[in-house]
Amino acid sequence: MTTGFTQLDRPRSFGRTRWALVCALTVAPALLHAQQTGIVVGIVSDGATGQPLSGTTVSILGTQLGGQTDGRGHFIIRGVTAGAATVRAQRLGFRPESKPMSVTAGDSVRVNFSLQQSAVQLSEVVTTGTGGAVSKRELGAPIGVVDASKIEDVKPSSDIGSILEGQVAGVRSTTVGGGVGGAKDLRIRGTSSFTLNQRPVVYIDGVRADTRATDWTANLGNQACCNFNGGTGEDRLSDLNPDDIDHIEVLKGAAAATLYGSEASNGVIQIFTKRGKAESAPQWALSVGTGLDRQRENYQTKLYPLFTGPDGTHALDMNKTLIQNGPFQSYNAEVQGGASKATYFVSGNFSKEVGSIQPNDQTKGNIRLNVNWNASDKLSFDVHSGFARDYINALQSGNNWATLTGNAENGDPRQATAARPYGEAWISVADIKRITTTSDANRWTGSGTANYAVTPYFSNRLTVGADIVGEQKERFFPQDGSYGSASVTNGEKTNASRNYSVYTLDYLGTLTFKLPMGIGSTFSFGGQGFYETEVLTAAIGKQFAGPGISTVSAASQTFGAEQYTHAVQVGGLAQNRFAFGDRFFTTVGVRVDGNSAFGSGFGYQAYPKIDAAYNLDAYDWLPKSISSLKIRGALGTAGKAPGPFDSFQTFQPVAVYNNTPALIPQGPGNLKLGPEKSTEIDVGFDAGFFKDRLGIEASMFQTKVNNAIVPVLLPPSQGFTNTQSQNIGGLKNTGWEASISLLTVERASFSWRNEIRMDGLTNKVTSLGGNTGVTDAFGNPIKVGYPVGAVFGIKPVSYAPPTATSPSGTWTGTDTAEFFGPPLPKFNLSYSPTLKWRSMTFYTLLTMERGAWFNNGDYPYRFRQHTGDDFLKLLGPNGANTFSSDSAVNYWHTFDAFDKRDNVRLRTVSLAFEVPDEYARYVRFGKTSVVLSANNIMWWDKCRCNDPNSNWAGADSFGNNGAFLTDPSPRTFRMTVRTRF
Amino acid sequence: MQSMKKRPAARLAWAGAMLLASVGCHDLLSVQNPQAFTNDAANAAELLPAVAAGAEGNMQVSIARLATMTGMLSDEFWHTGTWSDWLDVSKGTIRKNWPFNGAFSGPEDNMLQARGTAESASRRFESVLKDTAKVSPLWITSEMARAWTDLELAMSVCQVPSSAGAELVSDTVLFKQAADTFATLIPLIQAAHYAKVEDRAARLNQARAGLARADLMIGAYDAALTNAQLVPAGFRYDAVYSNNSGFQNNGMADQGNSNYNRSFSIRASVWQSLIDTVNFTLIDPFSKKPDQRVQLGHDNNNAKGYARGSDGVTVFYSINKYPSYASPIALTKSEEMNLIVAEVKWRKGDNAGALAAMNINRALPGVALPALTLPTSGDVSTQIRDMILQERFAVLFGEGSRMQDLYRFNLVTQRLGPGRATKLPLSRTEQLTNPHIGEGKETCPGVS
Repeated sequence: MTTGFTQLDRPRSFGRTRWALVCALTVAPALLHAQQTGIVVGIVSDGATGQPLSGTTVSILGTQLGGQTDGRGHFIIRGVTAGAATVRAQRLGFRPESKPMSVTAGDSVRVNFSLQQSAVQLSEVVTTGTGGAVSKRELGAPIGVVDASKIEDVKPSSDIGSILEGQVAGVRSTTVGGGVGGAKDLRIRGTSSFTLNQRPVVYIDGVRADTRATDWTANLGNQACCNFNGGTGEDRLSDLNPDDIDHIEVLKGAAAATLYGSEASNGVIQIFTKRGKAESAPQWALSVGTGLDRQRENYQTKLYPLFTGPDGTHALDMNKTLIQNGPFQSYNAEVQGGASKATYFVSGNFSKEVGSIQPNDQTKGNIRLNVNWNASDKLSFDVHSGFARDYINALQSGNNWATLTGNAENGDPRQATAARPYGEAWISVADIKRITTTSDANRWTGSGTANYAVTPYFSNRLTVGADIVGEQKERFFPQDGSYGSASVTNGEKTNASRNYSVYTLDYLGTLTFKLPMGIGSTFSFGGQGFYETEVLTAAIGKQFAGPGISTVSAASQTFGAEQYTHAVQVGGLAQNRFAFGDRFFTTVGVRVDGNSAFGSGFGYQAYPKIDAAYNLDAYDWLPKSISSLKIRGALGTAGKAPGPFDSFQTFQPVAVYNNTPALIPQGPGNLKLGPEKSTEIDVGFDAGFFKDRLGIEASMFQTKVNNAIVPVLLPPSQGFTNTQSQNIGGLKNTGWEASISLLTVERASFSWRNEIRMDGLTNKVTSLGGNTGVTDAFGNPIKVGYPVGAVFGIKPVSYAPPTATSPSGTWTGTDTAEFFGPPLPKFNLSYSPTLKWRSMTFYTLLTMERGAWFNNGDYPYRFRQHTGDDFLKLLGPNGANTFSSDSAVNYWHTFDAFDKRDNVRLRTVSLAFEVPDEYARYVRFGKTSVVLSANNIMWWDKCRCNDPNSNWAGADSFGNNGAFLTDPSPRTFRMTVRTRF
Repeated sequence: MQSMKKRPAARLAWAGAMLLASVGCHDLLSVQNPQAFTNDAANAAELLPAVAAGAEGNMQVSIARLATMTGMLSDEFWHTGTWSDWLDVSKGTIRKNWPFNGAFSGPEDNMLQARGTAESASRRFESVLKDTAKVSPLWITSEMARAWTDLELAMSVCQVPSSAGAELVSDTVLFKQAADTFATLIPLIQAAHYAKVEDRAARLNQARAGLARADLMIGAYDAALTNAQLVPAGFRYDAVYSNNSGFQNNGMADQGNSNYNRSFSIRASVWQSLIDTVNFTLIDPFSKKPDQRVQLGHDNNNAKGYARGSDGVTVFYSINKYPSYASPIALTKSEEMNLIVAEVKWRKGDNAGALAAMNINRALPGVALPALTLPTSGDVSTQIRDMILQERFAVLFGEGSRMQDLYRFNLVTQRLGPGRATKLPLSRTEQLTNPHIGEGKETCPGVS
């Protein structure tokens, strides 16, 4: 069995390669013209439905000739040397097919393909972290591939996080609340660090991208104050236009991501944007979306209308008064095409989503230009350029005195007045609605890649690119509002900016040659570097003289703040993949990194790896029901660099007295500080059954971090305010993952495909280097033997009956905080059936999480505020306190509430209808579809909370274990019309 | 067929490229942190004044939140918010695992860090200035800050390490340590090279006032009296705050004034009968007149929703002594010296002298309360003691002294009931990270 680019098809001698190089540089042009070539054309279609398949890669085996099918399934390959050849067609989700044919000089030959759907993805070619393009069949490490355009057909998404929901086992992508534009929790294989960012590193077309999803205004201090809108930061990944994405590759852990070195222990996600199709007339694709956002009405204020305030005001139920329909609209246009040597893809997008709790909306615009130019059959260039404008009118939510729904839900309806109809806890809803909190981001992400194949066996790739982000945030409290609880008197205005840039330089050389005994060998070498800076600034104006003014300078007190970070990394890599026949493949490699964040006494860090894949399919002894089988194993390492300046000993400039400059100890520093190094072993198999109608991918893995950075607290009496980062901790993740794809029915008029993904994960701290009192970034204790971010709390032990001094009795709790559970689910399951009947496609995504706990701060807080339905129903006539209500308040003053996050969630239901061609043609459209979809529709849980997935600090916040005052993500209902012509 | 092993030129080229990359990358990997100084940079002559200012300023900004905690532990304040750890302090509850990041731990850590700042500053001055250090106003500033942090810690916490990373000592030992430092400083201040006479005088008064208080707390009454009487009328040594930055904000204003948050208020369960609900000051219990030294605020009509604390339940009286982030807190002042004089005289049986000292304060402009008079019946000594305590409450309101007063007069149970902590315990951060302490080594706070 052969694949498209296996080493068996290549010449045997390295010497011949050298000779070919000389020839290529001297006489190649003349030879090329002298060659007799022909053209291969054809159509690729879905074997089950007969529908044309766009985006199918068609190539001539043994050459670099090839291209992709256009929207009508057509392809054309020019310059094919006359004679016998084999043409191969492959597409995600289909079994690849190869056909022999004979090309006549100066003529064309037609080859059509009818691809059969496949539940097995072994033929996919991936490029991320592999040292060049390679079939998954040859890989020993797990890589997930998501066909974004296919998902968009049934589930129109507003961001990348939505695309990834439930698509790859081990990848967690979920909303955590905070209104439209709020960040998502995106992570791979749980937690791999005590304090460092848990997000995987993200590349867009080979360029490292900004993934910040946490609020940054709080970093500024110096009167920039607290989180701008409660902690849920904007998610920079949501800047991108999901319609621009072709596919996404996911490296799940250290074993797969070794070649990314000191940034990859959380995994790597690479986003590939669309390219134009060669030899194709301009093909337009338009889509228009509309719909609405609507919050679930489960806030704890349903009993409020039963109560009356001191001025006779009937209290309001916020479920009926603050929840509104938030309209949504989106428009996307793209055109692609190309000539024989160049292709283009151009797109533009505009969308506006208004939240269900208002004010809150997000307006996005994107434009993209991707160009490919094949200067010759050896040299090609790819240029990707995307610009995004992302404007968010943020919801005041989360851990924040100015939280909109939090003030209503924590209000005491017995104190309702005309001005404060919810008996608002701290700030009136009317005043909160007058706060403006905006984020306005401009972003350019671009790259240029040159591919130069010196010979067919020696290729070079150089990528240069940048991701440049400029964010402007503003928050304004009007002068005539009452915002004392938020420490604002007579109004306040903050202008803050974040200028982030990261430049990537990446070179990869690949030499393919033969070793003795027919062993194929692909040697890859190269280097990678990035240069990253982030500058945060803020101007703050406090106390306006009167209403009607809103600039910083117009305030009576003005302040400024600035924070700067800078990190540089350079690394070299080398790896060799060996092919022993067409079944057994093994790769050994190493990456060596230097990073400016390493301590000056640390030096460089090496990350070795080895993996192996053995394909057992087509052995006679294998049961016929097994159509393909690969067993694989990988052992690899990857790292995570410390914070940019964590190794520096620092003395912080502050102001004292009446603004006199002063210095105080700040960071103790650590000259020997190095990256965290994760070592992962991963074994598993990829199997296809019943002619690949059933596909199963399974992995078991264990990841150990033996030098995790522990934020060691020094005794406060020593004077330093920061912790000292030391590589002394230990972490262990043990888990498994399984993906099952089942083509239950596949007929021309009806098909039923089922996708099940599940994973289990156990995280444990194995060492803190003998330190106690270690806390994470949120101040939660980290203890050996427990997961990072473990939920600890005081449990009730005894109750003493009421006395004169304690009329509600006295509760006693455990002496020390006891363990409740981990912060992340130990088990995740997603099930997504897709049913097609004629022109209708019905898609559902259902997920389940089990095992996670959190400190449900809202529940006791409402009792402490003497509010919330669960408290109010304990009251007596006329809202009088009772023994039960007093006892409940007493109890919840003594203890916190700890709840499981277990839930089953209906994430998506969609119905796509493909308009019959005759109707579409009537209006001169091509393939046209209408998609009705609903997301985040319903969830079932046993949590005393509004949404067990909520976290006030947005992304990464599962280390925080708090959903405090956070609004759940809204339900979204969409109708999308797409057409191509 | 040739392998790489047979291609020495290729290997050499590869090695050379790696070497070049390595050398080239060395400089590339050097980045600067433009927002902080290194340890070496702080030795520069032009930065030494900032180091001294950091030592004293860090102490000053740390007092506000620590005084908030001791105020809530005493009968001065109570918690009107929703934070369980603050409520623990307000209730005087002792849990075996005092919260790691609990309400009091942070403020106490800040004060310990301020002392560490002062200690490291003194060492830096001794290292850089060598023999001239001890006559340098810079070294005197950092040593003064060290003494004041010792004094404030002793007033607030029952046990702390005696210095950076050292073993635990009791509050009594710490008072003695503060007293020794102040005593050592006085002659050095007199010999130091001050450019301005008033600067020397200010430092001398600060040292004498600190020494007077420390001596009072350890029972060295004669010495306390002597030094208190050397401090001139009108003297104040303030912890200075500013609106300029969060670091400089008065934390007591931040949480106790209605302009900001409303997480603590005067403990109404004790003082309700003395709160003037029209003018919102405390009523002087002796003259029944408004005492302007304890100014409160209240949103009578709840016009801005400020009638209750941030718990939405407890009636809230704003601590109007500190209306803004920039309001100073007196570390010490001549009125406190008068009270020290009064107490020492009372302890020596000179009740008239005690009243006279207190009446100096009551006659001050802006106070203008009738003079206290000698009781004519009952237990006169106890009544004078109560007058002293009441005057200390009013004069030193919100300045961090009340808990220590109740503790040293053994009045915690009487004022607040049984089973309460009498002082703050050692911060758990220090307990768990200081190699000389560790779990279970602490022996206090005692329960009243």
